[in-house]
Amino acid sequence: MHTLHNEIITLHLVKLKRHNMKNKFLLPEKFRQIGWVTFFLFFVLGIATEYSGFNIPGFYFVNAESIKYDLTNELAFAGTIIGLLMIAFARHINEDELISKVRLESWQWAVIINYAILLILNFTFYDFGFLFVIIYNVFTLLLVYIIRFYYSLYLLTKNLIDED
Amino acid sequence: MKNSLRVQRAIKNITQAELADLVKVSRQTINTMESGKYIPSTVLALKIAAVFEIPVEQVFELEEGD
Repeated sequence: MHTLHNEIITLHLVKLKRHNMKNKFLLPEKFRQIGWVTFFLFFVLGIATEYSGFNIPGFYFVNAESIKYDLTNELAFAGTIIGLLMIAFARHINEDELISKVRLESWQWAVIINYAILLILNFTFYDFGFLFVIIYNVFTLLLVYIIRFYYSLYLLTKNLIDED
Repeated sequence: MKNSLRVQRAIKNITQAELADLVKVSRQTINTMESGKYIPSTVLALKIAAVFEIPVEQVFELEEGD
């Protein structure tokens, strides 16, 4: 009887804990720093390969028609996106329901801004120019989210300090 | 939604930081709630009422327009 009672209590606690862990899509805190480092490293690599023609020696593949494809820009593109994703989804030190709300608002904001920019550029860039716009648009959603999210947190902290 | 958090804290004589610790949220959350800019979840509202040992309606109440 006593064991059963204990078991019921344990079950109840497990339930409570689960409820507290609402945002299960988040990465551990330290991914914020890892994300920034990853982002900058691959972003610099991306600039080097796009604007200076730098390619990692030996990092390419040759297809059936013997045409050589360098993979450095693919690596830079993937690394930059993964870095930004890590920053965006890293758990905040004070992750709680207010932060969850700030996150959601920031995503809404980022989607609206992202598509507003895309719609404007749709009518101002054509052909290859628009292709570049689409490429940069891949980053703007994440970048706008990160800027908006950390700016909101900065404002919250500022309000707190002002009141003290 | 109106709340009497500031008053209830004064009665219990606890700071924002202490209340935040007791209900497992950040001080920002308590502060933002007190200034009326954030409506807490039902779970958080009930936890806060439990800390003050009063019914939830005594801490939070509906206001015109809700």
